[in-house]
Amino acid sequence: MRNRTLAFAKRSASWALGFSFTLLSGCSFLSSPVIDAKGPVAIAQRDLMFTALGMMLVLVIPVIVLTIVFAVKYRADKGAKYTPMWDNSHLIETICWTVPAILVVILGVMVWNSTHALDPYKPLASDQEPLRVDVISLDWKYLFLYPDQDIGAVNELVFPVNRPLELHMTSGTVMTALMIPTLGGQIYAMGGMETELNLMAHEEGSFMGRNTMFSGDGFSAMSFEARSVSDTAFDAWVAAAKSQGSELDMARFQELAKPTQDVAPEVYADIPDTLFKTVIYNLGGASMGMADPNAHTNMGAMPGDGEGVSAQDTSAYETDGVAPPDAQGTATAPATQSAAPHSPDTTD
Amino acid sequence: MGRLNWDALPFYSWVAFTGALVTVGGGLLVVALILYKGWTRKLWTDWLTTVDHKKIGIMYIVLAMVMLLRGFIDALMMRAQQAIAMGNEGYLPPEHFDQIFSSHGTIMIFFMAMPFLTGLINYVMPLQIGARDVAFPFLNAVSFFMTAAGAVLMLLSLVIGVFSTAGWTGYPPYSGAQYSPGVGVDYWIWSVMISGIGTTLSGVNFVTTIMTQRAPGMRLMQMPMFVWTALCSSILMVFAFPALTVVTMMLALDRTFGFHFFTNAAGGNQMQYANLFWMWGHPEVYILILPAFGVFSEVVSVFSSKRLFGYVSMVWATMAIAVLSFTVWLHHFFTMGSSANVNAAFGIATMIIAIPTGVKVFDWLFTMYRGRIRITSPMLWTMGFMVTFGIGGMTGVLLAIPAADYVMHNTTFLVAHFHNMLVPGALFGFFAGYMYWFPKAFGFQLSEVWGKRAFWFWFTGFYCAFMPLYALGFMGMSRRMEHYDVATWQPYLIFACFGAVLVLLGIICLGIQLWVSVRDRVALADTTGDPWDGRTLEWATSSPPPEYNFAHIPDVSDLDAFYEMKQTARTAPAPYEDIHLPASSVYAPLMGVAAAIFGFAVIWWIWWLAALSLAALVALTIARNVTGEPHVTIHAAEVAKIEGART
Ligand code: HEM
Ligand SMILES: [Cu+2]
Ligand SMILES: [Cu+2]
Repeated sequence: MRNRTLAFAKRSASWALGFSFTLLSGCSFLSSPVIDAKGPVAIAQRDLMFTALGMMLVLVIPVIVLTIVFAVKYRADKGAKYTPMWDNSHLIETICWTVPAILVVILGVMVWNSTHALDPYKPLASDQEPLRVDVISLDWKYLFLYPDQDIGAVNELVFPVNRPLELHMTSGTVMTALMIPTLGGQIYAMGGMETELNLMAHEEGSFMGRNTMFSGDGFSAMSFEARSVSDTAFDAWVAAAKSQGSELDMARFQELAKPTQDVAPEVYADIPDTLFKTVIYNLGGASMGMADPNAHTNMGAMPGDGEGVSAQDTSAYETDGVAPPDAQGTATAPATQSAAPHSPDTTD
Repeated sequence: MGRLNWDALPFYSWVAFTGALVTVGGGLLVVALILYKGWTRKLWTDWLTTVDHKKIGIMYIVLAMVMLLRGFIDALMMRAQQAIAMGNEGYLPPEHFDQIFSSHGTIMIFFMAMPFLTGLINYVMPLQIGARDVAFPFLNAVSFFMTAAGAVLMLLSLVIGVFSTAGWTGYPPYSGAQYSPGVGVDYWIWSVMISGIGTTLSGVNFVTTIMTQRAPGMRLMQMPMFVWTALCSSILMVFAFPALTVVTMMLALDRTFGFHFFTNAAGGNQMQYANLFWMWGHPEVYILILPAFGVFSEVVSVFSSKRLFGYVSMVWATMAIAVLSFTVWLHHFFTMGSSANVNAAFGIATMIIAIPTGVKVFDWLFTMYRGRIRITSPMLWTMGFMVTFGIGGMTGVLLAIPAADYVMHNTTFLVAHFHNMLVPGALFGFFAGYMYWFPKAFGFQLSEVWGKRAFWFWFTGFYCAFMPLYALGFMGMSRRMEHYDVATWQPYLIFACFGAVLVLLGIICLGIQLWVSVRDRVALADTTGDPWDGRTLEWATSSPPPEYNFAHIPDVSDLDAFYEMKQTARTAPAPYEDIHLPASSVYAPLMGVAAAIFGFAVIWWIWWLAALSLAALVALTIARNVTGEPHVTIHAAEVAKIEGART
């Protein structure tokens, strides 16, 4: 009899294990980007999350268990001990306030440290120079500019493994947010502003990157492939872009900026030096022919309105070769956020 | 007429057409029923023109139930779309899907949850403090009709024109005129703004009522917990809603008159919108959840047949939550590029709210400890909340860690988190309150069997619908996705759709419950006025209470005032006196109509109509004020008759 029960218990346990395993592996939760992180930032973010989760479970599991236990034990028909007027206990009250408070103090220290350690603006520790990529989000694709390599790519972000990736972002359209879950978290990209995100991959591979901030009809498909490759493969990719890509001039950029969906990856051999700054200066979309003509007709062209002015400004920079104002110089430009939002005095 | 022409009618797609058909059909059906039953006169004199807080409360809850249906149909459509749309476009094109998540969120927050809790407060709070009505009964009616006007605009968007695609948050520049031309965002702005004005007025009314209309002897620290949560929630309404009114007004100016508050160009600052919106938005989630906490406190004490454990703690915890809720709004945009110092400070501030919230949960737990628990349907909702809320609290604290939020923000993990707070936290509380106070309002109880069935479907449905979304967040799925091409997501989304079907069964059970209870109302009648062995004053009156609530304003000396009355022998009643009550008024519904027309006219740029309806609104306000405060008197003899009829 006892053996039978034991055998049954064993069998059902293995069934349960097997079932949950198929469920998990079959649905590949464990190999999901956030769990199976591939870069220092994402790994730290994941570990932080599970540490905090573990600490909170210490408090949450007892609450769940006690609710059920009390509901069973003190049901009216059970005749358990009944104290209708008992409504206070200094001991219990003290515990109720101090235990969560202690937990919050510990978590608070974690928050303070981790927020500084994992500040997206903070350069990542590495013996290699970061690779700088300027990102412009458009409707509904990403344009990646490699200023040091003088190449560009649409919907394809290629970078060397184990080398910090320094993304500078702005939007040529509405607010968007770039995230590569396998490598770590997102930061918004906003028209007229520059934000920054530092990431790194520990392994070679191809990861999903996407815009997580709803941005209109083409939002669902606004994703790109992020590929971390060996140094040599990266050099080869750059060389190939240089030899096979076309030139991205302002006219082509305007064309690219028009709303399109499911854009196939493309590389550019040559990019205007000032493109990223120009887009920031001109506040993105308004200058790029994306405005719905009806939208502004009731106002006419306004001075300082992107539509009226900036298109000319753009060509002016192009033809005259005048660099658009840098972050400091923009103070003179009426329509521009004068500093990256990161500086506390502008944002908060 | 402005931008309005025949193209606004929904003949361009079957989805829009069906939506319009259902809306118009439903409306016509209701009108037909009213005409057929000859209820028109009764509806007008007894309900629409009333200033009785009890009837207004009931109208709020009816509105909430209707909008719950609409909001849930939206949810079901999204769940079905995402279950299908792996590697294909599904059955909804983006322009529809985007309207649906926007209207679902807007409806559930503004036109389901807000009316539900305002209705509960309206009905219950004056009874619990031993008052004959709220402080400003007429204003109360105005608030209701402002909310209803917003809801009408919301429903109208399905029939004439389109709704916003910018989500319930309406972030610019996407919601600006450049990227969202057309009327969609304007529908969102004006329905939210008009109903928001109603909410602000409700807040003022409730705060004044609680501060000035309490029965003699009832000190602040003797108010029932639900009154405390109503007070905190109302204070938040008063202080938070103006931020929403201002921010939607600024967006309206941007869109309609070419201002540049939030545009990309010309000095606009889109980040400022996020700040202003969430300065309202975070307190708003506490406006939603605090009254539900109040219901849980009442229910857990009554059905454990025991005094509420740690009342003083609870009061302080509630107050602390209310104050702290103004200090955390930035956690909704940690990813906007603020410095580490700022993000960390707001993250820690957010976690501090977890302390008083945790205290409340422990206090409910210890109220059950050594009680005599009756597992009724209100108690089931409460216990379902208690076991589920911890999970939502935990994921909320995770999202409050900025570095973790960087990967979880804007994913379905976030969607799972806020539904985890809003469904068990707020909605279960409202259902508990609905089933708990229904016998008080209508004189008969709701079927317990169907109430329990509804609970189990909602409870299991919630887990099936939202636990997969936590996992999907880890798997990198963004919110608001109309289609996707990651095959591993699909099983989870199909499972979530199954969960939504379970919730649908729960909603059907709620409908059946109402039906069978009305049918069996004689058998279910509550003749005592106190069907649950209640502890607070609302149970001291008959069910339903007389128009004047209390023949004698009760004298209060304890938190569980009615429980105490039941324990001590009743003194012989004093002779009855004449009771003066505010008379019903046609102005409030007329003002609601004017407000709805005004909203519609502004949305469609029909300026002459906007001017006309605004003038009407002002004229009605003035007219009402010069006619003074008409009263009706219920004579002592009549009071004696009504009270004598009570067994
Ligand atoms: C119980 C059944 C419910 C179901 C099945 C459901 C389902 C959904 C779904 C599928 C979404 C879209 C998720 C996405 O963006 O990918 C959503 C969004 C949302 N829901 Fe619900 N929901 C339910 C109840 C509620 C309730 C009761 C509330 C509020 C009180 C609520 C408030 C919201 C809000 C605010 C959004 C965000 C809308 C936006 O993205 O702008 N939901 N819900
Ligand atoms: Cu910014
Ligand atoms: Cu918040």
